[in-house]
Amino acid sequence: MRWKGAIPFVVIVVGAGVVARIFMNRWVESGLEKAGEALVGARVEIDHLKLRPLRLSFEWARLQVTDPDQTMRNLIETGRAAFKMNPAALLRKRYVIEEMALEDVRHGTPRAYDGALPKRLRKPSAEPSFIDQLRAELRRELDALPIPEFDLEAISRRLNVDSLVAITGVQIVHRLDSVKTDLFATYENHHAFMSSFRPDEDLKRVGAELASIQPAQIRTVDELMATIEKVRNAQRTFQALEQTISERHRLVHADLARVFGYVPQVDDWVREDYQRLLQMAKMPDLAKPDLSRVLLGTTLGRQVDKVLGYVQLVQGLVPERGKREKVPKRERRKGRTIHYPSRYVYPSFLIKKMYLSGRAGSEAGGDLLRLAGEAKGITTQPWVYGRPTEIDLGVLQEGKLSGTFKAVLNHVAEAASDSFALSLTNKSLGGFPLPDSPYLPPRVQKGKADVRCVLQLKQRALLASMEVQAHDLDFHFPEGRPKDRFAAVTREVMAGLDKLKLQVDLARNERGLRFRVNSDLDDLLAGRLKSIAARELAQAQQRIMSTLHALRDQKLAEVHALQAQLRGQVVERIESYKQQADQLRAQFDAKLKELEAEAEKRKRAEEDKLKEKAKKALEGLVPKRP
Amino acid sequence: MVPLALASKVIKVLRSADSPAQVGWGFALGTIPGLTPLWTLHNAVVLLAVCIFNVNITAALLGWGLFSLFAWFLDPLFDAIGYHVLVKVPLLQPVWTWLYNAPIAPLTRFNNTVVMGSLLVALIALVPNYAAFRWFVQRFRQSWGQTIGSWKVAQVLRGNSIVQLYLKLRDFGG
Repeated sequence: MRWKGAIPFVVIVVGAGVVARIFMNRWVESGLEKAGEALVGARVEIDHLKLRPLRLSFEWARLQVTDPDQTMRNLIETGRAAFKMNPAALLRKRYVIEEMALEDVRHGTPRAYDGALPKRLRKPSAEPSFIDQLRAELRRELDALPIPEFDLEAISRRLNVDSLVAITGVQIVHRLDSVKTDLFATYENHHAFMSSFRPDEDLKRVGAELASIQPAQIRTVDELMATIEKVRNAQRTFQALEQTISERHRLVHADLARVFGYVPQVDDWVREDYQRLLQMAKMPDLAKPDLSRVLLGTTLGRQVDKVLGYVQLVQGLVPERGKREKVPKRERRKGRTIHYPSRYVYPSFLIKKMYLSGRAGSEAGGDLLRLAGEAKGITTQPWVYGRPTEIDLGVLQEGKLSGTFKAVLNHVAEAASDSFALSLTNKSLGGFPLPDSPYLPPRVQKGKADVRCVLQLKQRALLASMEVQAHDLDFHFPEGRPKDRFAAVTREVMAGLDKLKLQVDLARNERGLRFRVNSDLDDLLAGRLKSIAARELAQAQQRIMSTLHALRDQKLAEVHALQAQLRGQVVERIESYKQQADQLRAQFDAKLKELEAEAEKRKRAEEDKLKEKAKKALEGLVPKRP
Repeated sequence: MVPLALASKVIKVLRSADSPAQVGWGFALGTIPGLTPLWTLHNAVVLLAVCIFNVNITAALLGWGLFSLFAWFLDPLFDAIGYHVLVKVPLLQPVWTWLYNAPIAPLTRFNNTVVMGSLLVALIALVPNYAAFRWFVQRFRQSWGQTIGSWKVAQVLRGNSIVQLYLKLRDFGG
């Protein structure tokens, strides 16, 4: 043993301690900044960090967290902060802060220089989170919103029915043309047959021949039998002819049923065309206008998107149990840290309670806004801590605005469940910009609003709603006349508007995204629009209907002419042949009966004669009995 | 000049007045910070041991430098051993859990796979390292030193003007 050897050891240890003491502040500051930058994705700066190892306390003069979306602004800037570490936890390598205070918290303060991270320091793009996907879906939904257009003059221009008909080609014309084509083809088909099929002469001749046969005048039975046979042969020939006539008759009537059957459908076709032309003319549906969504949807949707960005940021502060690495990744010479069940409620990092206070605006300017509240249970291992992270903030502007913000991030269980609630009373709307639209004023001149916003997030489902009740409203309209009548209507309606209720709903579940905007502005505008535009729209609709009726009548006249031609040249003739054929068939039947009756009569006469003859011959041969 | 300085140091250690056991223990203790990550609590204990025990400090530095090179290549092995011991042996789980919850112990980073794996290897190799280096010193002093000294290369090196200059400079001022 060389006890003197302890001296260099102590020298080394003390030297290391002195070096650490000199550089510790800078090292810890740099370490915290880097950790923060990895979390936020933009510069995080801590000014004048002081570490007092013996007291286990930290202190900094200022903290700036750059807004990753606007890198010339700070998302959060705080003033002095001081906190102490829990020594028992620190001995177990857990960084637990029992209480800390963040003073002078501000949001959106300008930065002296750009807070964007150099490309090499930016986080590689990880798999998009649920909120990333949700925001992308919402942006697609907003892009797909119809462009608001209520220009009645434009609608009137589109209602140049003739050009509309020329452009779109109404169906009634095509359909009646098809009927005509069908009718003409039917006529041609039957007419061609009838031109070559002339049975009337034969029918008349056969009829005359039949009439000339007088059974009584036929002298012998043989001649009678020969005549019967001749008539039967003629009947068979006639039956073939009659079959042709009957078949043609059936075909003609079947075709007639088809081509005449179109006519009752014509009115339905007109109605279909009418509906289609209304759609083509993009006439507004004044019964259910959904104007708020069309007019304000994009602006409100962007606000919701921004809120979702903040939600994502707050959510990222507390890791989710389901997303932690089951088996940590291996890095050369760094190894993997294995965690065991903790008997103490000491997660690796925990701020048990954080008091927040801040202000915005100035007392002199009369817009001083005070913010105060607390956050509990900010930790990197909520499943170890076993309690959700809670944020409870209040804002107050003397005699003007008051509000609360509450957030509960429950990442204790495998399935994270977060809820956020924002409530603002008397939020000033003075100068609030409205979307760039010819139908809306550029901004709200004055007014106040009570806002209630609730957002719930559980695994891959989100339910959010925002209710705005604006009152004491006054809108700023630009000088000059409105662009069109709808703009005049909106101006008139909004100028008389004192209160406005607005409800935005956003829901996302396994069935997809639903984004709705409801407002009493819809009913107000729709009512006014109906009274103004109803007569114009009715006239326009009448013009469409008249044009369609004219087209229908013109085409129907052509159809009727063809129908008449078909009737005159085909139907009447085939009916005549059929009638003649029917008569001739009856004539055949009658004549044959007559002939057969005559033959029967003569046969019986012959038999009687033969019987008499035989009787006489037998009388001489057979002796009479005594 | 670094290789020459190193060779000179090694030869100085081998020819020092310290016993082969002192040199061997110095070397063996130096292998621990060499194999394990430097900034760990157990290395402070090793440093204290090197300082207060009568071991050759130069040999310890030599062991540290030499085994630091090996550690880079053996890292995957250390990780695998550490992971196995920390995770795969159920018998040890209560021990690790107790240590994890005890004060100070977590500061040793015992629950890091590379720290645990390399420390285990270093501790297991401690006595063999000591024995091997002690044997090496004994053999060097008995025969290898003279044999190496008679090598042409050693003579040429000794006669080299640059080496002469270096040795003069090194020994300048005592």
